[in-house]
Amino acid sequence: MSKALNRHSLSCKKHDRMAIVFFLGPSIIGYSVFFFIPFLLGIYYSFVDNMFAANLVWLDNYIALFKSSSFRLAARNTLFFTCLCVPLNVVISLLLAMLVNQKIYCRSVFRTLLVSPLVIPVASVVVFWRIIFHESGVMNAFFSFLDIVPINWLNTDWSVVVILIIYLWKNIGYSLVLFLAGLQNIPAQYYESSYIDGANWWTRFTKITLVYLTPTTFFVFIMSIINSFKVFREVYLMEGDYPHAKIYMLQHYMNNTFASLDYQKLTSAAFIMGIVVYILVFILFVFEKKISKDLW
Amino acid sequence: MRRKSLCFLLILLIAANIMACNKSISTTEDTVGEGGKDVLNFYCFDLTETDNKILESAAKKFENEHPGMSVNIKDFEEQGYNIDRYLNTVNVELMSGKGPDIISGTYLPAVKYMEKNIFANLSEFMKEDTTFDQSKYFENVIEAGKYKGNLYLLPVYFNIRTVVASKEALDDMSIEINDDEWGLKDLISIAEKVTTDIDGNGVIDRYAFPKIDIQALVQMFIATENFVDYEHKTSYFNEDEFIELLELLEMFHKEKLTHTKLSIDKLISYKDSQVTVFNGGDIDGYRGLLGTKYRIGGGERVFLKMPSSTKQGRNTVYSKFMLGVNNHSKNKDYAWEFIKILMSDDYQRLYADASSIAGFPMNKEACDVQLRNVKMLDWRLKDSGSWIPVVLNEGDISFVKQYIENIDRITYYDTKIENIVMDEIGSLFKNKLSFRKKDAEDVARLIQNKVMLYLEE
Repeated sequence: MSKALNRHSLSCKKHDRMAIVFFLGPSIIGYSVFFFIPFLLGIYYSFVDNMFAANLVWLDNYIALFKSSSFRLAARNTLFFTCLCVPLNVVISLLLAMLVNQKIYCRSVFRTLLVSPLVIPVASVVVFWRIIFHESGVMNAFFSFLDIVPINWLNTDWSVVVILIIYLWKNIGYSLVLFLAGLQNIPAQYYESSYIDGANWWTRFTKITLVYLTPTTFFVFIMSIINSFKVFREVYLMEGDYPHAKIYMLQHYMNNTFASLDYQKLTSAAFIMGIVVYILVFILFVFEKKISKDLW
Repeated sequence: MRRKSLCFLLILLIAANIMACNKSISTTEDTVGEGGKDVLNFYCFDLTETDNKILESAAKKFENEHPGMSVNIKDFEEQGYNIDRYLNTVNVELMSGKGPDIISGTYLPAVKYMEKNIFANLSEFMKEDTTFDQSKYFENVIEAGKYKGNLYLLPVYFNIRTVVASKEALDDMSIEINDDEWGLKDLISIAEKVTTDIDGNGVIDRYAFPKIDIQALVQMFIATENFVDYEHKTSYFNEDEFIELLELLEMFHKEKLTHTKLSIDKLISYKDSQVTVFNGGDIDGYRGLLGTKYRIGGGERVFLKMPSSTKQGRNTVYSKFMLGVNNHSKNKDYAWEFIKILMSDDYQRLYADASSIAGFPMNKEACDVQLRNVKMLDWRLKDSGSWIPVVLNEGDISFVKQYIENIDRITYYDTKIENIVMDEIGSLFKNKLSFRKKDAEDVARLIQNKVMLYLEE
């Protein structure tokens, strides 16, 4: 009897294995061919002097990279922008999510409107932002009433604010949907019992809402970080290879080194960026795990 | 078991990837031509018909001398490429270790390539090759083209840039110009003086310049390369000198020193020497000098050095045809042999004799032959009913000779930098006649920042 069972479970395991290979295989192959292996090759390229002779130079490319003031500026700008936009995105979308989660007038209309930037194609959005911030655009038309000389906003120190606005406009909707889902998952009983215990709204917010939203917040954080790198598309479409120094991001650096086929610098920069993002996500994971453990 | 098979799969994929990479690197197209001959690839862009003819004849000569080789000349413009596509294609090939054996360096980001060792060091070839006699050529031009002490692009011929002025108009106003020292400021003040209403009917009938847009004006007077120091990865666009230039351009633009209707092309058929005084002249050899002198009908023109506020700018030349050897080519020695054919006495003479315009040959003797040929030309121009002979005078000839003797710099263009500068200056002048000093400073700073980003990448 037990033998038969064993045999049964064995064949089941074999069956499972086949299924695993069948389902995971394509994505593992795809991931490896298009991402993982090129990344490994990239690391290899970052340690050689050129692609043909391929002499090992160890850290020379990295030293050259850190000596390049363009790279340092790009890294600084990217870090600054990420530190600025991610918390802002999280806070604003959380507030908006809490707002549209309440029973307010035209709730579904607001929800739809807030999510709509997600589905608008980038190219058309770029045209829109140009019309707003261009030298002869809407903003300047408005300021001309106040006798302020027209400014090409994307070519000034304010450019980073313009990019921030574009980023927030584009990403708040997405984070909002995530937060809404998170909010609706918090059992209503917790709030009810906190009412009975006489907790005020601040206590309810910090002790219930925030705590139970931790997994969602973690996810929103990571997505915001990833999307903060994606804002490059809009910047590139509006300002090209060499934008104002304030909005010259790591992606510009990598894009330009790619265009000039400087693989060594490109791969070194990509590797460093990969490591930094990995460390960042790792720290967040540890943080999230700690809070979640207390939670359940 | 599972782990093993996964490992195996991973290794297989990595191997496949590497093989794909290697394959793309090692298969250079056309390395072996018809009949198993080794092919010497030559890339160029936008050459003249004369250039192509001479190149073809040089290719034949080379193939006769080296029976195992054949030369494949590819002018990308003839194949319908525009400049951007050409630059991209060549860049991809060169950076992946493929590419031609010989390339014309005119439009390429030459200095960036020199930095990355894309070009072979021609100084070494010249030193080691006893059959190549450097003293036959303008050695100061060879010296001027060196980057960090080595030559990577050898001009086959070169061209100079001048300001051409109407002699009559200058005599009329008794203006004397010392072009060894003049700057853009002097040019503007003279331009203001000559832009006048001669007959007193209230309409200006003599302008300093023909009709020209701001872009062309910038290209004419602001030599961007004078503000870039590639060797030290620095640029000087934020310094007073450049801001001053912008302000001078503004004056140019605002004061209406340029003709309202007549562009340079229209002026050619216009028979009035006084309607405009100055125009820019790119001189493509002595024949070009003669052509430019009388290009605008009626009256003689004199040549002046470009106004420059930098010491660097005054004795600069550029070359529409300079050649480099791909450092990753298998046939570097053959490539040098081919270049040597173009630099040989016979071929330099061909450039000297060419009826269509090319430039001043690098070979001194050929350059003298070119002058002799031009002196023998019997050109006449119809001027108010009578035919007047078109000749170069001693002043023109000594102008060129002196210029060539003093050449200390070859221009290496970089289209990226040129585009950055043009875009920003364009926005400065867009839809307006004038700007504040602060605007000029802002634009100068922007250009400086962007160019520095580019240089430091």
